[in-house]
Amino acid sequence: MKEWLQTLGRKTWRFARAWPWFLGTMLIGHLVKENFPFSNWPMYGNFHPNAYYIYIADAQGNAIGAAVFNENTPRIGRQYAYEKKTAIRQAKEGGGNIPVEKSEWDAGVKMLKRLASRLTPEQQQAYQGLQLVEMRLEIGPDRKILPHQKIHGKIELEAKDH
Amino acid sequence: MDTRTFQTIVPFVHFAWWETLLMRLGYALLLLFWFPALEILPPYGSELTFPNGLGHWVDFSWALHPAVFPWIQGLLAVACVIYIVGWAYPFAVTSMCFCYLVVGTLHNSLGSISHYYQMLTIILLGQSVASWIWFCLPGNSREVLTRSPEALHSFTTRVTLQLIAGNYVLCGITKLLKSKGLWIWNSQYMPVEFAKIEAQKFHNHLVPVDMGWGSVFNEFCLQHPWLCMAIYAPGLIVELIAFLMLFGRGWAFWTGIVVIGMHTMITLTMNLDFPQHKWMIFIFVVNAPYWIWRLFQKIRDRGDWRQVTR
Repeated sequence: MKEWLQTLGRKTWRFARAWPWFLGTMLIGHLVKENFPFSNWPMYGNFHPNAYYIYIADAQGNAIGAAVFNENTPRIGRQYAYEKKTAIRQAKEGGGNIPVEKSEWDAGVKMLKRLASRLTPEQQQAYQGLQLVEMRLEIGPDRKILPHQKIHGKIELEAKDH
Repeated sequence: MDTRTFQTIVPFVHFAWWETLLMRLGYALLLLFWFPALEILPPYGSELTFPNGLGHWVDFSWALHPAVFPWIQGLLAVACVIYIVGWAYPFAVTSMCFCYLVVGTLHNSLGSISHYYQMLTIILLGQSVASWIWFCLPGNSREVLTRSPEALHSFTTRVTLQLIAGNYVLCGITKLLKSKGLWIWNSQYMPVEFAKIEAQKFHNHLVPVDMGWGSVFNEFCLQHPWLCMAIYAPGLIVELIAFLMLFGRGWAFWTGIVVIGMHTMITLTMNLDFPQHKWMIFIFVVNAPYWIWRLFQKIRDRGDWRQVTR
């Protein structure tokens, strides 16, 4: 066993000597994860039978393009995921028995308020309110993709000067 | 495996001065062309709500000032010229790395991580570190500052190849870790991801998007999960065997072609394009100028040179 380990150690050392940058960049990327410029490249790291995306709608439920908020849809989704994670963690740390749904709603409202501040008074008047909508997609029994909608936050808008 | 066998399968490749010159030219143009524009970065004065990387500790928002940003672009352009020439290489490549690091960090501090600038910056970082190591070796500093040493550029090219290979292999390993080894099996759910990508693109501007062949392909995959797995599995395998590009020039050429092919397939099937990565592979891994030179040399050695040039 000891000999086998020694041989393995010797071979690993030879490999590391030949390709130190190869091993180094893999190790750093794996440990540091998504911190620019390093990455462990987790995109499409796994697939699930369902996926979801987030979009913003007005008070009537009509979708508003992400570009209106100087954003894009994937970014809105990831921002919401970040806010949701933070809200759930804070709720846990607070010790109170706050349901996850409440944390999700609070995260949604927080995000909507931030996005609303980027709207002009005319846009605020036109939209009247904002809703954060989660659209979940899943493969149905007849192998068709079925959408399910869920609202994670609502705010009303009053036209006011910036 | 003894040392001799190992050296045979991992050959030491020396890159000629003209090869590395063309690589530096190509890479500098790539970096200049893909440098993020001020319009896609956070507006100056806005709060960076989702800092990433160095942004957690260092405030780079000064770079977003409309009067400052052109100076960063100017610094990059000047550094690129010096980088191509090859003199004072550590200073040039470190300046380029600085420009990309600052702007890339800001671009990734908007709440989502995009993967367009990581590889470009990692390569610059690796080349910077490698060149400073070279600079610090006894007797090298003067030559590095006043000349364009062939051995230094050959060394940084080998470092670059290792960095590219390492990150592709890491990408494959992360897939295996995240999916607990079930990535190929789970790739049957790719059509759901595709539907999500399509919907997300629509919701950017509320304008229907043409997803090209991807729509037809994913509809077919939805009905035939085994076909879906058979098509996506090679992508993972290519990532995991990307280290073959370190086994010498021939292996690098073919691995490079296969990796570019994988990216092209991803563009066709998922509508996700990474042109920077394709060009980066083409410049450093495929190394087409070398093979053209080799081809002409072979023809010349056979005595057919006059027929070719006539």
